[in-house]
Amino acid sequence: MSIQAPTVLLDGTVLAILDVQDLYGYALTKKVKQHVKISESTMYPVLRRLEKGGEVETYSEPFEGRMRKYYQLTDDGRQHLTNIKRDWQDFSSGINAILGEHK
Amino acid sequence: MSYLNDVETQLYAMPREERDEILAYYDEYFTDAHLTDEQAKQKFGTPKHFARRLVADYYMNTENTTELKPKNQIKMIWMVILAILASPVILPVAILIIAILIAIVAVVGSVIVTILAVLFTILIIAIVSIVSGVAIIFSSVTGGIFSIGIGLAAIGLLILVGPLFIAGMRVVFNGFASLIKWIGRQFIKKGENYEA
Repeated sequence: MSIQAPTVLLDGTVLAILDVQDLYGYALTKKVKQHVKISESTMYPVLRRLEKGGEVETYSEPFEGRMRKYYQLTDDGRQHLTNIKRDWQDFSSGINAILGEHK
Repeated sequence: MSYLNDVETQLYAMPREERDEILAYYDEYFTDAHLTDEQAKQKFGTPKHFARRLVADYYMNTENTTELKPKNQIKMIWMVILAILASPVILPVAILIIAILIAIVAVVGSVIVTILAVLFTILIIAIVSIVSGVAIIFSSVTGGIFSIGIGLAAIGLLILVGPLFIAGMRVVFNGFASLIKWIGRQFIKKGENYEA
């Protein structure tokens, strides 16, 4: 894909995935990679920023004798996700009308 | 894992808290991904390279540069410059970037030196006037008082404009830091260049 996902869409993708279930770093990265082409080191700054902005929270759970850090959506994050989804609908329907559906 | 240990030794330019967070994240990540040191190196580059990228990411994501102490800002600028130079760009572009960076550093540096020189000059004038004023006050009362007066006026001027100049210097420096971050963002895009 030669079109690079802007920050807001990357944020939206992460928030949408976390809206379904809480995930830890590696699993989350794998999920995001199914939708957006990113490198493995892309996720940390995104998660850190979302965490600092109060859109995700973290908690630790034991797994195989170590602690795993899970990321969880907050109400602010859910609100932001709703906004991103709405903005994306507006944007994509316009672009789709002119660029999409030609095969 | 020795790969992460090597990365850690290269992260000295980052505040301790951030460094611990980031290492914990990748420690867990590598364990979950079952990456050996060799595989980690293939995916993320050499420890040094990876560490530079982490530091550059961190400083470019720190929204407000003024939150950082000047010492950390200089570190930040240096790290971003290193990251730009380490990212694979075509040679002419690299030469252009380096030329622009050198020009910017020269301009900012000369402005700062000029400001310091002006302040220093005023201080010297003040000291010389007061000392010579005291020296001649016994042979010429009016001349001595006049000279001391000039010296005191110069100190007054210094107190008045000094903070202004220092503030101006900070503005120039912060602008410079923001500019470097901006240039960094243009060339170091979301880790794309680092995809193995």
